[in-house]
Amino acid sequence: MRRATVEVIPTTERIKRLPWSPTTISFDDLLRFVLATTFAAGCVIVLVVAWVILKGALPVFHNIPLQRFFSDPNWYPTSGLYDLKPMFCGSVLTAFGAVMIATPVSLIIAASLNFFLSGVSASLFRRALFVMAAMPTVIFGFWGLSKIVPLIGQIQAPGLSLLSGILILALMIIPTTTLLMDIAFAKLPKPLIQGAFALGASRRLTCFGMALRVVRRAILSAALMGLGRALGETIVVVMVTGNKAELPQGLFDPIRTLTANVALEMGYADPLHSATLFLSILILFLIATGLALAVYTLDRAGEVKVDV
Amino acid sequence: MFQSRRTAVIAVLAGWLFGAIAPAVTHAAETDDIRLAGSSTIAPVMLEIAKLFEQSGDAPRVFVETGGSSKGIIDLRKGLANIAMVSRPLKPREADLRAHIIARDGIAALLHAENPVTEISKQQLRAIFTGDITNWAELGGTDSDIIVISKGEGRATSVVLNAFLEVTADQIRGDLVAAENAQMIKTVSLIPDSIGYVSIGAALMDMSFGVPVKLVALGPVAATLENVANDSYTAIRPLNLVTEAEVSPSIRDLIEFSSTEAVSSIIRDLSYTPVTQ
Repeated sequence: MRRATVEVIPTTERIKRLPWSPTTISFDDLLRFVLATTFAAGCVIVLVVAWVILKGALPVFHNIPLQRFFSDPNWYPTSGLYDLKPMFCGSVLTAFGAVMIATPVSLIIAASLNFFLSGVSASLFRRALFVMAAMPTVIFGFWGLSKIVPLIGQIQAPGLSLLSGILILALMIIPTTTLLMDIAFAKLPKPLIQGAFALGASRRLTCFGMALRVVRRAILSAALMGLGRALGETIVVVMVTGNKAELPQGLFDPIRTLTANVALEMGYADPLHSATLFLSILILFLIATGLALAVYTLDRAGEVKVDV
Repeated sequence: MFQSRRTAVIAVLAGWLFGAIAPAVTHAAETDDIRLAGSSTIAPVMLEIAKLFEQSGDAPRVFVETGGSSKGIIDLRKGLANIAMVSRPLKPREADLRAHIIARDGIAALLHAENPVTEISKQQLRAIFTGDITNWAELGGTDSDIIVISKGEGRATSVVLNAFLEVTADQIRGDLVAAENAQMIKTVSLIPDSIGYVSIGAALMDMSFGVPVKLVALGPVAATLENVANDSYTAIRPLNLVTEAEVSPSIRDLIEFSSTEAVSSIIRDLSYTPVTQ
């Protein structure tokens, strides 16, 4: 027997089903509103930043053939010479150098924290890392300029060099990469570790034979995060690398990074010069976006699931 | 993407609200406040002067930002600042603006305190900064390479130095580049074989705190505040407040106040030479 399909809805229920109504505002709605505002603000800000950079760099594409950024003999922007090659190399060399040092060091620390140190010392160490990670980078820069630079200067003058940049940036990113790797180790499913021990594996074998293989993607993603931080760092490199706009011949030569170039010159740049600086910001923006995507993909692919 | 229709509606509302608020916030700046931007040499002076100025009656609030002389001019032209602080003479393309000098500052070469060299002629300085002299032994110093520290080629200090040495920016051969006065002084104090150039006022300030650097005059007259004050020192630059041709009464008040006797002690305390009418 068929029943009538007409449904009578009480008025109070109708009001509840409206998308927005004063009678139904709950704490959850407020929370959702705040989160949605934040989300919208984040999106708008990223888009505005991208738009400002593109707009700033636009005059370059009308006025300077792009190959000139690699074929001009020098960087004398007020005289119309725009060789960005030294700055590009400076950025890449310092950031990669710093990551090459920071990654193995961080890996050793993170593995020790999870497999070799006792609970108390590990937690103290973690706290110290948090403090270091939260330290304003200008402190690293000032410390490097006062302590590391004179040391390097004793080996070969002037001390402000690619090497000092690499060492101080490495020190700066180690806390971040270590904490990220530490999280990856801590997220390992307990049964996996207990299983390894149950099979008779030593701590060393569990750590290096098993855990390291499982978290390898997370380690790579932590290293990429470190690379992003090192590439974007400005004040530290302005202080310790010497800022000479020339290709370095060795570790002891001064260099200038893309970020330092912008910091040094944006203040007095005429429109076309400023556009070339915006172009270098655009390059960094694209690299940072690429790194963020890579980190995201690696983290998705690296999620460990264990069925017990 | 959204769990329910309600969330979607909230998100749209939130986005709309943000879009409505953002322009309102950015336009809130258009008030009676006076905004100064520009030279990091002048900024400390104007911060102190502004404090005094704000105490008098119904004076508007004064905000001071740095970023370099040319940044000040750019902000002035964009309307982001009412007054540009410019620590160099105006360029020909800035001739439509009005410069009001409040003080003078000398520029001198800067050496490490332990460097035995005490006098460098103009020709020798030009040779050092263009890379023709590369060893301190050629100047009677120790047998070690000269490390030349320059500032960004468009900074006011560089413009004044280049004019004094009669060279163009692309002839300057810098081994290292310092971002601003403080970094220049710090770097020279760390590298015994270096030479840089700096505002005399800024250097004297740091030397009084024991920073191991010394000034070497540009030209025959010693680099002292007295010689800047009595016009015998030649490598001098004006510290200017620059405005549009037409200014509001409150801005004119601040500019006139900045060159009165009342503020000259502030300027002297910061190691610059006041210009009083």
